[in-house]
Amino acid sequence: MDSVPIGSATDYGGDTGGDERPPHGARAITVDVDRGQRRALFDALLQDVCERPAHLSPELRRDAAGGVTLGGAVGRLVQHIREQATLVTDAEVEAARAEGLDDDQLYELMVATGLGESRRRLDVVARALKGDEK
Amino acid sequence: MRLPKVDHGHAWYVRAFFGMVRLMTRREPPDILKTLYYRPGFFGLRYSALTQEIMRGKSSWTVGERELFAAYTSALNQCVF
Repeated sequence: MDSVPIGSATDYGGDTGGDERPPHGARAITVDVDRGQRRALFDALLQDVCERPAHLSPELRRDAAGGVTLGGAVGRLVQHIREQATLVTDAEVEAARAEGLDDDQLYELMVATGLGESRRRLDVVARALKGDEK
Repeated sequence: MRLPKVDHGHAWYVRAFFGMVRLMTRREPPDILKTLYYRPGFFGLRYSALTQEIMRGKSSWTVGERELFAAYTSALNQCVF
C-alpha cells in the first residue's frame, strides 16, 4: 500500500473515484493506493488466461504471453499483435487458421498475446518512472 | 472483428442483450463488448473487474484524468476509443 501525496488536490471519489477537485487551497492530504493489489490482479488474470483449461495448449498461451518468438503464420500473427495490433489483417488471421487453429484457439491466442504484451509495456513504464530506463 | 465466433457466437442471453442494444441504438454493439462477452469466464469477467478497479478505484488521479490517459494511449495505438 502506497501513500500518495497529492498536493493541494484530493481524491473526492472515495471507492468509486471522482472528477471533483477540492476548492483552491484545500488542505493537502494523501490517498492510499494499493498498487500492489492491482498488479496482483493483473498477474492473476494473465496467469489464469495462460493456465486454465481451454482450447489452446497452456504452453502456446504461455509462449504467446511471454514474448517467445513463434514460427509460421501463428508466430507472425502473434508478433504483429505485440507490435501493432490494430494493423493485423484478415489475411494474417486466415493464415494462422490455415495452420489448424479454430476460432476459440485464435481467440485465446490473441487474448494471451495482448495481455502479455500489456504486462511487458507496463514493466517498461514502471522502470522508466523509477529512472532505470533511458 | 475477424473471428466469426467472437462476432456472433455468444450465449443466448448475450445475443438477447445485443439485440436490445441494436434496437435501442440502431448500431452494431462495439467489438470490445463482443470480445468481453464471448466466453466471459475465460477473459471478460476478470478483465472487466480489473478495469473497474483501475479506472474507478481509489487513486490520486481523478476519473476524468484516467479516462484521458486511456483515450490518449488508445490514440497512440491507433485504436478508436
